[in-house]
Amino acid sequence: MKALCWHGKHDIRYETVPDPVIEHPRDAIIKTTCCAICGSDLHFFDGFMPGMKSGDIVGHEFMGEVVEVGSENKKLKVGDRVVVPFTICCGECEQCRRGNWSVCERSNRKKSLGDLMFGHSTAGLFGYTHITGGYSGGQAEYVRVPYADVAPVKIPEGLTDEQVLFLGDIFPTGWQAAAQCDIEPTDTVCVWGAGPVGQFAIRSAIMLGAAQVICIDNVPERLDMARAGGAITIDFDEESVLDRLQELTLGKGPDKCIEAVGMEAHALRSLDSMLDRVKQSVMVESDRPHVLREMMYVCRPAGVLSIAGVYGGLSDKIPMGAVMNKGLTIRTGQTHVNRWTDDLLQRIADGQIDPSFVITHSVPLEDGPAMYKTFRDKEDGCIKVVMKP
Amino acid sequence: MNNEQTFQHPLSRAMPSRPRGPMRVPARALGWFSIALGLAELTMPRRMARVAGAPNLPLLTRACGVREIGNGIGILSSEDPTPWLWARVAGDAIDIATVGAGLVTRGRPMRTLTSLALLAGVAWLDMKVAEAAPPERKAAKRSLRDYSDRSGFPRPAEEMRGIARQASLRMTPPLEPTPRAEDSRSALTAAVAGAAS
Repeated sequence: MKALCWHGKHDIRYETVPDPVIEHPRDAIIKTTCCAICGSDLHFFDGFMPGMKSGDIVGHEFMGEVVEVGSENKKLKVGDRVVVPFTICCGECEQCRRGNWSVCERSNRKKSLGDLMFGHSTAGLFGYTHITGGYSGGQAEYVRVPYADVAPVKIPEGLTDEQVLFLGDIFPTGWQAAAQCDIEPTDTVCVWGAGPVGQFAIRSAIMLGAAQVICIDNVPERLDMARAGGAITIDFDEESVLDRLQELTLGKGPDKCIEAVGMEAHALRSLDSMLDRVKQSVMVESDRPHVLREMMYVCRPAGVLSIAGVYGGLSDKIPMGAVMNKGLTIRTGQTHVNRWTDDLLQRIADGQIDPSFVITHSVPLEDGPAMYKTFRDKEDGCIKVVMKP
Repeated sequence: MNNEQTFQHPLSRAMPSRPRGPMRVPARALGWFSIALGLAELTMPRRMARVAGAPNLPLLTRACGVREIGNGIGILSSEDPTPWLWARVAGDAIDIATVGAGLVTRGRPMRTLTSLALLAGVAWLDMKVAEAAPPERKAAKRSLRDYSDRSGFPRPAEEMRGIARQASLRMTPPLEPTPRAEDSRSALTAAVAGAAS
């Protein structure tokens, strides 16, 4: 089959690889009909994600048709149309039973690496680092789905791939970012980053009833899309973030802050950002946490910081004094996708939201390597790339 | 006076990312060269002056080091590094004048002349990269595509506000109560009791 494979920094190739096979009776094989490039994929593309190996099949946003099921899989049958969440969940461990799907205790088959990196291992993820299991990803014609009797979401007739694909990651991620803010009707919610997750976080905050949603970015077309979703926008190239937030919140600061940027923040004018980039270049800091610092500083006392952006390791100069003295609550984590999918699928089916609004580029899978660069550099108005094998 | 309106925290300022375009790599290389040279001048001023055949003026050499580091950071952190590259050219001129004084004060003319030749070469390179560096991107900043109609909502966003306010009540519950949690607590309790005894 054909797949997109990682071979090093800025080196994604469309190449022929062996077809996947059933390895466990609970597995299923999915024929991919639609997949996408996620912002998280850029972390290994740019060489910031440790634990990658040459030849790894990448991608964790995908859906398709079931073409083979293991003997113990009672949930799926050949021909089912499913969206596959990016987190692999056993459904039986203590964390899965609590609904903490993204920290499944059994699905990371390279648990020792996860333990070493994070203290305790998290769930296995598709098409990502070997720290999260090194599973083959979904930017491929076929995918083996482990524990396929747990996480995959069956899609009813009448909904297009483009409407439901993002149930596997970015829609629940934006939704969780907003939901864990405990939004009140009087709240101002500020979202850093108008990429795909930020766009869904904006719409989720609106749907969850925030009085005012503000979005910060510097890419004009992303800010346009944010405004279309109901946000007031701040272009950090053009105006002072702090001054605008003070104006918009009558000097109190946003009640809830959502981080949808992650470890590669592209803000460099301030001294802290310059130092982060220098330190990252010489490998004494793995992340560039400018947005975290800014959120902690501007958030209203007793507010909530919800962190959806991916961080990989170590961040310096985090203003814990502001966090502690203002009594801020920090909520974060990889998305517990299955906690939200039933509800969100129903909302899509009810017509409350059509997630396909975020798709700006739709290309064949073979164009994937070039689209990584287009997406990374935000060229041609690129916000979300969908690929079809 | 409204201090809230005028206060400017350094974290609130931000700008685009690193230099782009065909001269990005040489510009970044010059940025790192600047930082390395600056650190050397800052930490080893006497040795640097001796090696370059320049006058032994540690304070002046350290000042040049600070200038080099500033230039380097400016080049590496700017999307448009052109002003910083021209600042390097100006710095090269100062360096040539400073090192040239070594012909009078040092008494090692060959060493000084070699340094001057190297400095002239670096100045030429700085100028070439500065001339070819990309124009400031901000001037061209505008939407490449119009996404102003992409709300994703069936009705105006204002009408969708709060439509899912009860969402937390619809959250998918855990598969079942957590008997294994109790099991594990019991196991933990037993383990602690065993260790104590």
